[in-house]
Amino acid sequence: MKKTLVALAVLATSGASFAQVTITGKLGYGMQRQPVNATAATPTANSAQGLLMTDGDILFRATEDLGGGMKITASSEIRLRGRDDTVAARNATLGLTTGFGLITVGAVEAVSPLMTIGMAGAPIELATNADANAGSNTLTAISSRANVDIVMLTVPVGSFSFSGAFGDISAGSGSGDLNGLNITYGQAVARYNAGPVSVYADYTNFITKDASPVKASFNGRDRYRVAGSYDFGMAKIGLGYHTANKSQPDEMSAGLTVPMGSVVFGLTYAQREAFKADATIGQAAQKERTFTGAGVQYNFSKMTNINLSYGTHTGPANYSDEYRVRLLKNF
Amino acid sequence: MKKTLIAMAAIATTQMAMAQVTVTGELGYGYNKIQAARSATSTSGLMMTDGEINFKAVEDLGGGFKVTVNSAVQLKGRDSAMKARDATIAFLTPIGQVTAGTIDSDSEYPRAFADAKISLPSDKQVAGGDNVDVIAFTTKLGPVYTTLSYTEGGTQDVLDLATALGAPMPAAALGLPSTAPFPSTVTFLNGGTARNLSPGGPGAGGGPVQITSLNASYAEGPLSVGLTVSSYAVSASVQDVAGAGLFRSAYDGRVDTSVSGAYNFGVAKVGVGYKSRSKGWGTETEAGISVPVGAFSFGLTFEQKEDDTKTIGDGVTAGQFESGAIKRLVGAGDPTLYLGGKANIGDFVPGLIAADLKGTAKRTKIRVGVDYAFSKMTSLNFSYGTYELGSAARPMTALGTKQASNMTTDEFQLRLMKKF
Repeated sequence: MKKTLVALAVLATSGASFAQVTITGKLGYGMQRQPVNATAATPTANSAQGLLMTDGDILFRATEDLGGGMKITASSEIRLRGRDDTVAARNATLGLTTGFGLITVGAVEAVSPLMTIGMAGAPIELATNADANAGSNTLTAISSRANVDIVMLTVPVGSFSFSGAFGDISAGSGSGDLNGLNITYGQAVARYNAGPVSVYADYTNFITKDASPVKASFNGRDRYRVAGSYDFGMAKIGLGYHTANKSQPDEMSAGLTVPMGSVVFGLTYAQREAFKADATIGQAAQKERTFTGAGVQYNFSKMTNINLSYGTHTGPANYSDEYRVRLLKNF
Repeated sequence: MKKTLIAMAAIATTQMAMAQVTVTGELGYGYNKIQAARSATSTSGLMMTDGEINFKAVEDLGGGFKVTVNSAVQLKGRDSAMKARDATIAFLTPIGQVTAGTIDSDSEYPRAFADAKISLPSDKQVAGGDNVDVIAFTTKLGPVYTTLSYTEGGTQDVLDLATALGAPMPAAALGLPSTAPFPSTVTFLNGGTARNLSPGGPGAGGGPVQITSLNASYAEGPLSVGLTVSSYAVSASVQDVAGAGLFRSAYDGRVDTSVSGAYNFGVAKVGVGYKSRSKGWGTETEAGISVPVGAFSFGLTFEQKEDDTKTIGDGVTAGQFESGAIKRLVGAGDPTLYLGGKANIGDFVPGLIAADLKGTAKRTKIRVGVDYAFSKMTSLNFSYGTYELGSAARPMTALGTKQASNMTTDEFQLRLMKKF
């Protein structure tokens, strides 16, 4: 999203402090078929069909120069998608820029690099994609995206940047099967961005003190993720890989983006190995799952586009194909 | 709402495109008495009657193309829920405009009511809009704006569906024990799976009812007229449900035709409207007058809806009853005779009883109001409304009874409103 509204500048104090507020957002509307079919057990699963407001967020951002090379930025976002849709708080962060790096704290959605860099930013917009929290479960919830409370320090070094983070995935975080487990984690991240090359790698160690059947799965879990993309100009490709101990299945993603003037074509693939049953961590066996998506997007401008995407799944029972056509306006 | 804050527009692209965002809103506070009898859940008294913030952005795409987005949120102070309000994307092309969004499908009543400045807590209880997903194309043919629209679902449609088919309800509400063999929640579809009882609606997508409408409107000088024809269809998924015949018979193939007009004589503006609805739904009539006197504006409106006696169940045949295609659960207090047979509480019996086959009774509402405008953005309004209600309101088919009407008293509201 780009800045579009630099709203008023309010003199917040009697002094000379100057707070600049920016309002940005997006609104997307479309028609879709989502892939989960209704069953007796989930009778309303296929209700999200037809016309709907697919996207809608308003973001408020304020920045204050603290002097001495320090700056603080507050961002808070609200989900707003029209009538009969629930209003909800989205990412909210405070970012403190210091002489040695950026300290970020907040309640955010942590998105897997397998879904971003690993898919080369392919323009595929569906109800689920490969996203566990959106229901497809091709990637596990902890892999695709999870709501977290986070404290992170990021230090840039030339084309590299290094981050160290502490995260808390607590009850009610919206992270699916992680709800109520009170999981904390420490994370180390390295990024490299130079010209056409983007590389991301992280290591995460999870801890939970809750006594639950899944405790053994998370307590002491070590997870490694690596993703990269290369932009050849006429096409951009991406790859991502995820592995962890505790009998967790490996996951991978791949993506291809081909721009042709105002039209952009995309292709993505995601795969998760079969879950092996592991009684020691209360894990049931599951089949291998895959997601394949294709999309085409026409950009009216950098802020407005129309997108047609199609996806197909293998593995999950009771799944079928999905599609979505969507008009999106960023502002 | 008027524009009040046009903040700066950042250049969103590297080209000349400029996105302008406008933040507008309204806040109204007042004292009112609602038409329902006072109770523990009464909303009479002091309250924030209105409160909305709207975000609007416009982008000129060049070549005669322009896109405009609007998204509003309800904000009425503490203890009032935040809610998303109308959200739309309008895509203007050289030949017309495509508008898509999730909105309140309000009707042409403002025209029929001559834009009378009347504000009451239950403005839409006789007739009015519904929350819908919509996509529409509007073009100007000579002096006439013509709109073709496709609409999905609606909250009230979903409620109608649940009522007609029987939504899951606590057993206690039926006078049934919640212990075995009775479940704690009971559904009424042949005792089977309650599929598609929540078929989406705005925001969630889908919806059991699809409406295709054609509208023509003309507004030049003092004259304004409009004509709308709407055709209803029920989605196939709903038709798959055993017992959907009741709902389908009431909506599938229904055609509404409405016409409204207003004329501004200068000293007064008058308006009238009429809507006919097939499939046994009652007709609706509206009329209004507004009289401006300096900063004051006086208004008077009348609206009436005829009895929907045949609405729910119209088209349902005795054969469907007898074949067991439509069944209902016998609750406490139900009559024990059904089509010649006898049933006990907890039994599923064919069809509905005659008392179920009623829609909304005849309703009449008269409203008056006086509005003082401190400015174009700030006003003080006092309005009063009175109802005349036939018999009962919407039926509870599952219970074989009708919801007791609470529309038995008049109402008023005094409100200070500021738009920004």
